[in-house]
Amino acid sequence: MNKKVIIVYFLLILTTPFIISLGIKYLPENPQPEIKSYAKIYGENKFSQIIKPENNNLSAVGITFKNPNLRNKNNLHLEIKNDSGLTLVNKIVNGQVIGDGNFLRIKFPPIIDSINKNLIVNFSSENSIDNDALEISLTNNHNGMKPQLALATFYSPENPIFTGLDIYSDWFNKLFKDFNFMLTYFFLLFIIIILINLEKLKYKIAN
Amino acid sequence: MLKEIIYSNLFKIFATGLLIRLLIMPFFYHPDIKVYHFQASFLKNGVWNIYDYLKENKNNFVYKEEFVYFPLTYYFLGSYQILASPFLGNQFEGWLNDASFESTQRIGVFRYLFILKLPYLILDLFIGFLLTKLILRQEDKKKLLALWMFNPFSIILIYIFSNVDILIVTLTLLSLIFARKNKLFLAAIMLGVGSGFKAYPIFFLPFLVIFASNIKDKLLILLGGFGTIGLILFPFLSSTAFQEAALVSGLTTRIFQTNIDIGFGEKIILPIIFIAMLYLFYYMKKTKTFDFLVAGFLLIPLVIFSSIHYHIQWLLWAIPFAILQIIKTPKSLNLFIFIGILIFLIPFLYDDKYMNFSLLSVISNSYQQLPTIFSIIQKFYDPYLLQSLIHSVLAASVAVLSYYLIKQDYE
Repeated sequence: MNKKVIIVYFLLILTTPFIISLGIKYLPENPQPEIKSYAKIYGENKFSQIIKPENNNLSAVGITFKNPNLRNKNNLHLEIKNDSGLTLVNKIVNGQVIGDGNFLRIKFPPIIDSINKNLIVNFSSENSIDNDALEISLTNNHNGMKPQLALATFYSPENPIFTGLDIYSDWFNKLFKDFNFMLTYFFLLFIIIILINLEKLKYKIAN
Repeated sequence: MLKEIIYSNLFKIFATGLLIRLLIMPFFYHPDIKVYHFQASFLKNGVWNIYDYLKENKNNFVYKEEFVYFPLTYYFLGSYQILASPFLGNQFEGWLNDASFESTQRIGVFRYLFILKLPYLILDLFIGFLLTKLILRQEDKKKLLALWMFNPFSIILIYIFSNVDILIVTLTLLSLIFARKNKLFLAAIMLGVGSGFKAYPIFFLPFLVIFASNIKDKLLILLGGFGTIGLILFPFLSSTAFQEAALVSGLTTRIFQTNIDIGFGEKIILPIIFIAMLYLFYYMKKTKTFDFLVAGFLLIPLVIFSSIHYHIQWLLWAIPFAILQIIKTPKSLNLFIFIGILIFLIPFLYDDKYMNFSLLSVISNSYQQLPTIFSIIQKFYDPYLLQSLIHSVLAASVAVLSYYLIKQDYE
């Protein structure tokens, strides 16, 4: 009975992360940088930033907004263009669904060949006014400087199985990098397995 | 003699359960463990009143939460951190102060989680040992230990949700053991000390008072229980930060939220009704048996959970007593499994990413991109209504279990 229990738990622990990873549709490419300030986005106050994805299939951007008392109920417009000016993404999100201080991830159909391309990300909210404007997060205090958006980017995995394998590779890599802990940990597991099977081992050795 | 121990079935069950726990410990992460260890880290800097300290310096910290536990939790965690610091390494403080998305990917995070969960492992195994002391038959000891060591509920609560409540569960179990030996004053002190970590053990004290056969023992129990908790909390009672953070948070407020308005400013508070009923049923029994004391320690948490919005971590309060009950009345096993599934299912439906796949975020941050079960259900059904339906069935099941246990004839 003990052996079956160990095998069930062991298989569960080893395979569950892989099985769950098959459902991952968005992988983080660049995490959101530290937020230093916010700026109002309304009327002609628009914000844009050039990004250069490191992967194909760019499929979402994420950024934090302030929407005090959920006052903004106008449309937020996200546009992504390539360096030829061609619009690749055109998404509208209404302010009503943007919570105050929430990180908003805006998804769109994957830009298939996005790797190493200069893409211009534009945010605007033309129908908003100063009093009800959303505030977009920045990584700099933009007094006199060009504002830098605190933007995170996401891409869709090309093959979910490779995603799972990458996750496992990172997992074991991280474990091996803490060498002393890894050694102690596996040694402990080894000792306990020996203790559980001591009687059987003794019998096998004797025969 | 050592050979006999190692070759014994009980040892094999212990060792197998230990192996399972070691496989899980480093690889699951709930942010609570980091937040309360961040807060407990100030003990080594000489901070004795964590409540005032956090309130005064909140703006300087990455984590702005209040310390919501009672003082002994702070001293225990802070002391353990000091002891474990040579093994945690010199990057540990940096990890504690890192609230960024990437903090779960730091080299060393598996080591930190493993070491921070070690006290829980020791207490977990100790609880297994204590439970066997409450059962006489060897065959029952084996079943009981297997139930404790292999049930997924306590493994998930302790090692995935990094449950501080195991400290208090150990003390409530010790209280039962002292009660069994008729050392009721010590039993009451255990509950008092447990209440110095978190408030809930104080609900068990009236059962001990009813269990005692004479007035002198009853008074000693009240003195032991309330006296102990009074001594622990007295230095902090005048602190408004303590009052705001610990006295009016979590369980203490939620119990009063489930109520029926009867007009003129009065409310009937449902959890208090159910708890009072349990005390009165015990009081009305002709013989105050130890078995019903165990049932009381089980039913108090269950009636609370069935009537309030609870945290999953709290479920550990009931599990050792549920296992004892299953051993005594094997016919109740299916009902317990049913209640266990319902009671676990509800929190996994909450709109909280750390109730779902984000628990794997130390393996990879990619898991944080998965939708919660709440948002998946939201696409085709109202998840709040679903939670309510399941919670209602849970309440009914606990009512049936309570009736079943109260009607039992105890030896």
